[in-house]
Amino acid sequence: MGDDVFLYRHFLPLFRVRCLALSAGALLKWVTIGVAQSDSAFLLSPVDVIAPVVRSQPAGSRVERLDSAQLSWHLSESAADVLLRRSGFYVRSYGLGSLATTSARGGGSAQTAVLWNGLPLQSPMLGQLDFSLLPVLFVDELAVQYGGSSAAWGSGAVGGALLLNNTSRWSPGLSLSVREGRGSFGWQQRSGTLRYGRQHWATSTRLFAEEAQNDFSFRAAPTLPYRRQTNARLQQQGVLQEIFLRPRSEGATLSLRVWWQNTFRQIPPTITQRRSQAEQTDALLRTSAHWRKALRHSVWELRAAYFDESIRYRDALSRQDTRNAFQTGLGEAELTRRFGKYLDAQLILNCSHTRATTPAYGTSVVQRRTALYSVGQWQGRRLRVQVDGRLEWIDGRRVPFTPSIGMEGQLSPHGQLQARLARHYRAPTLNDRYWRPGGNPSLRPEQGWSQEIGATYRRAVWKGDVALSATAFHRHIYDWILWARRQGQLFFSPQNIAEVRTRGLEARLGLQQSFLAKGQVRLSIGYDHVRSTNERPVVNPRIEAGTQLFYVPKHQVQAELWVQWDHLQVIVFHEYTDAVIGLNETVSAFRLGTLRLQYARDARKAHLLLFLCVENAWDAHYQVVERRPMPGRHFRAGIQAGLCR
Amino acid sequence: MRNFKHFFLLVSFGALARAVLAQTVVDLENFNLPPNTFLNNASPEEAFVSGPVALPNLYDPQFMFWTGWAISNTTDTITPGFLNESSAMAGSGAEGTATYAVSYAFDGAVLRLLGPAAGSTVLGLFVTNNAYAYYSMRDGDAFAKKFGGPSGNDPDFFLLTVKKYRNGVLGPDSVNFYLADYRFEDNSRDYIVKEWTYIDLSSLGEADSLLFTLTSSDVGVFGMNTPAYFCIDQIRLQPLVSQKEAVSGGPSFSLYPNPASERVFVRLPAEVLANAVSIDVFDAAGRSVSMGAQPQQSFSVSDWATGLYYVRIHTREEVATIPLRVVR
Repeated sequence: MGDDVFLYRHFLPLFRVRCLALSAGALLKWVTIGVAQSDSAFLLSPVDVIAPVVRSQPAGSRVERLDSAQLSWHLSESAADVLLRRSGFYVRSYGLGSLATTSARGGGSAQTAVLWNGLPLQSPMLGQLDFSLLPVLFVDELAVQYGGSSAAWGSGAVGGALLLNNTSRWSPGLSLSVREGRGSFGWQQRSGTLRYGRQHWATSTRLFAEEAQNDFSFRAAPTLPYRRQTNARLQQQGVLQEIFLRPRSEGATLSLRVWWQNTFRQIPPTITQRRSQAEQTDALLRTSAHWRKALRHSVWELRAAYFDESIRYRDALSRQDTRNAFQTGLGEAELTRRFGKYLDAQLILNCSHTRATTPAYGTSVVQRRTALYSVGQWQGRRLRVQVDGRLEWIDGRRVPFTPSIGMEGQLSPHGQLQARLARHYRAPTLNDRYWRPGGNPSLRPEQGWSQEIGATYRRAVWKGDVALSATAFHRHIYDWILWARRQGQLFFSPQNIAEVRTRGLEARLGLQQSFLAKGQVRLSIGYDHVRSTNERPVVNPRIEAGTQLFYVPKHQVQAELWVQWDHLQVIVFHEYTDAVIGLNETVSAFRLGTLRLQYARDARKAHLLLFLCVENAWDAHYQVVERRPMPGRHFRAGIQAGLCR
Repeated sequence: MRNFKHFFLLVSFGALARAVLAQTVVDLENFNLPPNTFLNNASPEEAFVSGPVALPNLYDPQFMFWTGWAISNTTDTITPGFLNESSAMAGSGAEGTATYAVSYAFDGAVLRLLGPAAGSTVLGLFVTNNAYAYYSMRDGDAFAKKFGGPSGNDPDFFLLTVKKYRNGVLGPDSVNFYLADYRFEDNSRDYIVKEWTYIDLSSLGEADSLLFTLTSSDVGVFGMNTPAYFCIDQIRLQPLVSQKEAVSGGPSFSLYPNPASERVFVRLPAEVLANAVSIDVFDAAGRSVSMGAQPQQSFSVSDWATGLYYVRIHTREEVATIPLRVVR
């Protein structure tokens, strides 16, 4: 259900938390979604010593990947914007620059896992993440996994997973790039990337600063006059510093990363609120160290990370000032081994320790998790099969064992079939367990099974190719945690009372053609259909059996047309999102369009890029979350210049 | 002789007056709160008791969560939000007093009459909005809508309904009081109650306890979005008294039938002439009731509202006040 909206309702007063480069290769990957993994797998030479990263390439699961060329279109944006335009995930945006949460395959916002180089980023207190706080600038590869994989990624990977990866860059020499953007409503962004590499080490620094007034005009209803949004200012800075060490050319590598980010946002009033003086500051420090050593038949990886994140909520009107913070330390050891020509296996041991503090907990609380994951993959000429499983203990209690099995088979040179069966779980969050009033330390994890089957067809056509894919899925989760109020109960508390059955279809069509030597055109159309229903009635919140979950649209359609002519690229994007059931009212369906232009010149040692975006190109009047206004047509433009030596 | 009669009448009038004005006013001042205090924990008791009135309270120490009633004398009428759940919008207690009671009535709130007071009639009490609820209705907050909505025309309301329990049975009658009413076509008439307002509950009759429930037009999947708070003070009770006790000694003015529904007759003492009598009637809140033409020995009550009235009978020499109950 609308977990995040609910949490906002109840936690907001007490604790702010109550509270995504269009080149030929890029669109090709976007289009050949189901085929991407198999392609790369089949292209790998069997005598290649580097084993494939098995966990990140789940067999039978639908994964859509965007590499840095595609992501270059979104360098001024957050992961929320990318997911909005480039995936079937439904993104609940609370406004320009505001909170954004996702629903993947009809799941709740705490059922999408987010992994940064394999490390889970969801807040242990809330179980979810604000996607508007993930700058695309800090990401080199982005992968959207539909259906998630609790085996691979642990708690919360039920509806889907978003994988954010940084690649190690060993290119020698210096490269520098700066980017400056300006846009409507006082939007300004400045960012820079500096890279320097030598034979045995390299460093990469990316930083950005952004601010916006977000005082856009809107009408609460078509019959009412326009007015300006108030108290919506945003100010954000961040830096991602990476250091790569490689003492010997074929030896071990060490990647050290520090991600620091500070975001100040004023929280604007809703349409049914006269004024707001609320504001929130999200501060985070994420550090990680990855050590990797490849041997003849195996690869060792050790990962360690420390996250320190806090949210401070202030409201001068109601005199609130609360700070919620958590610190997590985690370590992971991974061994990947190749057995013979066809078999790979991976074993991962993961331990984490979290401490969280918020006034509502009373004292700070601690959570310890230990997990053991193992996967085996058999890869033949035309078939790939993966079996994996995860055993996990949270504070000494074992969570359900989550196995999964998936297969991908190449039926013909053009067609591929894939299928997957998996068990999922989502552990109760720290808020579910310790919040006062209501927290229930003995909550059971949500769990259930999912099945999916898909087919992809791709063939060359005239001067390009066409790709079609369709995936049907079904998922049943029980012991779903819902904050509810029983008869005679004084307050809300989380209970394992809901049961949700989800079924749906994802269809993708991609077409690309070259023309007139200098031109390329690509068209991609996607359709996501999700029926995610409550199987059991609930009294408060009022839920009838058989009704669609809150904030899960039944239909989403996306279409994108990309045209390149010489140095100019144009994208026209259009999407339709069906109506959703909100907590107080229904949110109408809406259509949103975007136009983007990019002009790029590359020389041997320099590059220049100009971009222009027209957001909400058709000036639609819409809301995504009830009572939260969205802006009409607005613009962003900028310039990027770079040198490399 | 005349002085003696006068004296007798004065004594009897005093007795009558005392008996008739022997309504109790529960002013909630017995808690002796230090200034700016919010008392939301009645433990080890389960209710706050003031005179014959008990206001149930339940406090959960593990979660620091209270429900039922709380006693308060805080005066912050400016701060919105749940942190100011303790304040009445009037800024202090009713009728110049300092202390008042705050109710959290999401599932309804009960006011009990204790021991011998059970069966009394609650004549009425003063009611006002709690600051948290007031500002939530006036300005909206993250969860509840501003009354009137974005256009100002939404017909919103926040309604307090009072019913009574007698001998374990919930009576069918109810008294409705709008704590906020935005249903008017003319938006300038929209209001949210901010001052202490007296509501007359005498029509509910004899009660062992009262049940207060809140309803609002702002309802979502979690039920009512408007904060379920209101404040009360100065509860007026009329104890159960038989007519005979009320009139003790002195010349026997009396009214019959009593209770009455159609016509009331005045029985005068033999020595008082009918034409020397004038009659004034007051309702339970002290407002004068029009008598039309000067009545002599009887008057009609068929178009009076049910409830308790005070009939003041004047002769040249004396005044007597007799309670009269009108029923249907």
